[in-house]
Amino acid sequence: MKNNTDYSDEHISAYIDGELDFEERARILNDEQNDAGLAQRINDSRILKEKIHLTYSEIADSNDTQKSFNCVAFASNNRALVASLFVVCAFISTLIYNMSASDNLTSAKQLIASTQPIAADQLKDAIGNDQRVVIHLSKYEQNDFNKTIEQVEFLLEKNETDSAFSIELVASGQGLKALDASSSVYAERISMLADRFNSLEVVACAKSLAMLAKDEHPVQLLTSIIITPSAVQQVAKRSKQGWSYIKI
Amino acid sequence: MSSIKNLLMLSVRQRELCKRLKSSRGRLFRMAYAWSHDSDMADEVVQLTMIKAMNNVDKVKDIHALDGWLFRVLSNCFLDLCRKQRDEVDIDDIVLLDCDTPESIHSKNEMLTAVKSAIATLPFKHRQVVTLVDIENFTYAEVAEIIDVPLGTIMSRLNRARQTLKKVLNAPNENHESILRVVQ
Repeated sequence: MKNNTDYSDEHISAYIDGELDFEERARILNDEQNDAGLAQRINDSRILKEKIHLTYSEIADSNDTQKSFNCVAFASNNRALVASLFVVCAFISTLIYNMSASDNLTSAKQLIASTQPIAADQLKDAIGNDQRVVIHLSKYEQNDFNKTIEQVEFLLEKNETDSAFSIELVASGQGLKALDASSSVYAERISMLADRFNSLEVVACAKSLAMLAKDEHPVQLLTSIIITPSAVQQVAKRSKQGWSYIKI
Repeated sequence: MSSIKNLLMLSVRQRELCKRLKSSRGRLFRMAYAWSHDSDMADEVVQLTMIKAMNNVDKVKDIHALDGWLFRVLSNCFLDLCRKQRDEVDIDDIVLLDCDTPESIHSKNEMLTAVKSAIATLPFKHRQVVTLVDIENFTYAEVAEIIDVPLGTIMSRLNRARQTLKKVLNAPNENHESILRVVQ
């Protein structure tokens, strides 16, 4: 049997920390019961260990609680901030969309302005192998228009089985007169072509229609013709989608 | 096929590791706080530890060794932060760990405050060992691995720490001036 002074502090520390093997633990336990001084030392060490553990035991919990509380507080107290952020995001998105749309319109205007009109009999060559084409009717000369219609019809028949082939006839300004059922001899023919071929769309510019009506030259359209708010917008849209552009 | 299986297994393992990492946050904070007695600093150290651990979690071969590895990362992050702060200010001159007044010592948390003050008087190396053993119940071998020193050194530091704490705590109501010592 060892007495109190035979055990070093390291030994007692190892005992309370569970670092000793079974035999050594049993021996100290036995000595502890028979030696009040040793029991006191062991007890002091245990109390110290427990005090240290207790001192910091609530630290993590309180830290986590505070963080959770802060999150809840933020969520509940900053609804207005979140709503504002949402509005700002929506505004920025709209702005970006509008800027993008504005860029497209500018490009379309430049495209329309810089493209030289072709002669009606050159239409077939101008289209070439393109499968999606916007033909812009910006003017109407009755004598030449027959050739334009013939070439469009030829191309539609030739590519009737090609589902990828599409022609969009966009009329604006004086070109709308070609679609006027009250004055154009080709209006009904164009309308019939639009009904016959799914690959043909005929589109009239609403702005131009309004201007002609204001100048007391109202245009009477047939039912198969689509009205778009703006020919420039329509060209911009198709251009963005990769369609070719031909001005007549 | 086997590579897909490996990927799936890795993903499950990583998820488990990440889950354990997150659940260890509170314990890491408690330890960092016990070392620094500064909740802001403890929070920063834990953040650094979590980031470092998340980035290197693949290096943990045995999921059961995660605890020891995590506290080793914590220890390294803590020392790095101390060194950075030491470059800017003399930590020994200005950092008082405990703002307790004699009145607060006599508050209902007198004992806990006294222990904190006493812990604060320890050199960091001693404080680190005693808190890892007494707060997290790490074995001596685990602590030796965490702070990368021999087992005998751990026992020596632990013993010296406890002796100092006993002396400080048993001293009759002395002024427990708490100064964070410069990390060696």
